Amino acid sequence: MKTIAIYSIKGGVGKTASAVNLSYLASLRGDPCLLCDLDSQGASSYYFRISPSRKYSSEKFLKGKNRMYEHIKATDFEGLDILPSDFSYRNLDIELSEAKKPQKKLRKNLDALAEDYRHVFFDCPPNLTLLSESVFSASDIILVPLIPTTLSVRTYAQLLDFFNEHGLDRSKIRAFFTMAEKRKSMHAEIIEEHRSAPGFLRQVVPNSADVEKMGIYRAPLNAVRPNAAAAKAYRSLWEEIIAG
Amino acid sequence: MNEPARMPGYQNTYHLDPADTDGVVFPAENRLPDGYRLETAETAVELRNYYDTFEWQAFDHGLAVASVGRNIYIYDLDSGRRITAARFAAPASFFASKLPEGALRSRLRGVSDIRAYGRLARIRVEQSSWKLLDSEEKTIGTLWLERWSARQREGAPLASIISLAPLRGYHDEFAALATLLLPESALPDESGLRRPFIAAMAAEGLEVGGYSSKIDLQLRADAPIHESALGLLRFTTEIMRRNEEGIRGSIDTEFLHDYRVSIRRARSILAQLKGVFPAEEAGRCARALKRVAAKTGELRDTDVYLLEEERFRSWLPEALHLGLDRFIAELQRRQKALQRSFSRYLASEAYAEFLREWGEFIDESRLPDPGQAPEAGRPTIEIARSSIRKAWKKVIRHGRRVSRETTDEELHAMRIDCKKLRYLLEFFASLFPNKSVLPAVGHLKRLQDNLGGFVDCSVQLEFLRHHLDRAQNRNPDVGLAAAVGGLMTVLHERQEKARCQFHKTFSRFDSDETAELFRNLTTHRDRLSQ
Repeated sequence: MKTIAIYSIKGGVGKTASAVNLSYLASLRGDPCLLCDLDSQGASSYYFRISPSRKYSSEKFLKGKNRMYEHIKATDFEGLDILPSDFSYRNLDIELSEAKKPQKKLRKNLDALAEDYRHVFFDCPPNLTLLSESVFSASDIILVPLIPTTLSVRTYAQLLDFFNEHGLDRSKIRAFFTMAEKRKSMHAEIIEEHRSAPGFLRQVVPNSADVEKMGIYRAPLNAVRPNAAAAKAYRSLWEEIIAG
Repeated sequence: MNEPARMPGYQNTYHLDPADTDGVVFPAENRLPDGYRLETAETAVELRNYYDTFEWQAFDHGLAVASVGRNIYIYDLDSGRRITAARFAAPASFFASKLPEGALRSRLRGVSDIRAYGRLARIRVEQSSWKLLDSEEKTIGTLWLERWSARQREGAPLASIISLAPLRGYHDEFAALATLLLPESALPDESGLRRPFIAAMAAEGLEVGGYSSKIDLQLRADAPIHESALGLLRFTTEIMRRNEEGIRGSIDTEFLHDYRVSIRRARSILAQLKGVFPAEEAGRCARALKRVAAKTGELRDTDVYLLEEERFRSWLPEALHLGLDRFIAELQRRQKALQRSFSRYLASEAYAEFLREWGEFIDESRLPDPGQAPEAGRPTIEIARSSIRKAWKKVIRHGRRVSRETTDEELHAMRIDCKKLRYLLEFFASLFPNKSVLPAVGHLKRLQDNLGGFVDCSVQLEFLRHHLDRAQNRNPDVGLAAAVGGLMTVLHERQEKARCQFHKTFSRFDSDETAELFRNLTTHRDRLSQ
């Protein structure tokens, strides 16, 4: 089982779109895949047309395999399941702070899913909390989408600092550019400057109306418009990720 | 993960009377509450060729195997859904090991590696499915309707099946709605796909689960032993005959194996139940059976070698693999020739003549003259008890006499004694309660495994030695000889190991506990049935 977090300190950088499309692409290979929607805004769940039910609490999330199992739902795409946001997030931070080894707690719960899923994705909330830390330590790869702007690149530097301060493994981080616009020379310059830097993926996801329309389709772009430029970019991006 | 698990307490499958589907409205969408709707997902017609082994092992594992075009699928008999698929243009029969690498292959190898999967019936399946969507347009499950008809008789309906497949996380919601959509005439079917599958096979004249080489014959304790023994002989003969076609078709090695076992059983009945048949006739038949069996010995040995190929390879260093390949190639040629020759025999007038005489013998139900067969009229249970007791005592007596050296001859003889006892236990098992026979068989089996291991090694060593002798007279092939030598070394080691273990294994068999089991089994005591 490989665990992949999609994380950004800043909102609106295409994080959820990346989580939805990449987890869909992972499931296409026939290997079962789980997307955990940890973002309380529940955008991933929304993209898969899963409406929140308010019965569940974060307490249950941490109680291990069986509790987690009950709340997993199948998406309309074979081999791709989702743990909806309503139950998974809300008070996770509080729960984690009460656990003995909060950083390892999540990892331990996930081990129980190893037989069932080849890939587990986390769509993370855009902040730096105990939950983020727990996700970082539970993940094999941490994907960080960045808009090619100075501000966005700065948040990336902040993240690296955070890893250094907390003794986390920086080598798990893979940054990549999203929402890139060809016409903006600043975008091109920043991409040029960084894409070959260590820790960066080469593939860039272009800004596209198609990605924005995912909210209308309520499905992964790669499922609805596989030939759209952004969909192709996600496909190459996924290939680059699994190639290591 | 992708397996459509059957939910406990949840009915996945319903059936409709096949003759009665035209007037049935399914699914009744107008009964759905607001916010839900159906979407037609798929309608398709396909021709399915169903496969299974001669012993229906896939069915016994709750699976159905079918090829559709150039694909092959495994279906779950409980839910009716496809479990896994592979690209494979299935021929009339194939081994699981010949499938492309993947989940389907490992699943079928788990069901049976040794038996071939043969094409059984071709079914025309008309499939329709609907997705049930909630107010978010999210699919919460799928409903399937399948109409099966026999390919042979155009259009003849065999079954109509409705199956329900909720998506994970939506079971309760889906189940409640699906009930509204079902026609009243739909009956829950606990058996899943089994009922239509059995009907489809019956349409081809096949009986699902209709073959097993195990003796499955209920004897009557008070019937004359002559009648019971004839029943057993007819049973083994039936098994023998049913395997002939598979031997001739060279489908897999188990046809010949079962064929040989039935002959051995028949010979064992004739030899061990003394005074039940006129001695002269029984002796003549036993010799005739022996002659048939003798024609199969080398063929079986060759089969065993070819089955063991991978194990043998693992014993040898890579430097000898080329030699082993040539040895195996030679065996394959030999196997083909022997198979052809025995198949010719099965089609011959000589074999037909043997069957005629043998058939006359087992069809003659009149009690023989008491002068020639003094025991024939005695109750079956008495003979069962006395013959088992005698055979058991013989095993104990001979076992205790085996020398410290445990010679080949001693162990070969022991093995035969054990086998005789085992056969008797199997013949008469239906007369005793399971709880008294099964432990006795279990104890005996451990001893037989030890002896079997020993004798198999020595038979194989002998076979290899013979092969080397013969090879000397032709073009000597050094690589091949070295490989054979390597195999002999390992076999010899194993044989000696089995030899060393005999006394320990036997003393475990020769225990108070086993003695008690056999005494209970062979003594007439009413307290047993308390």
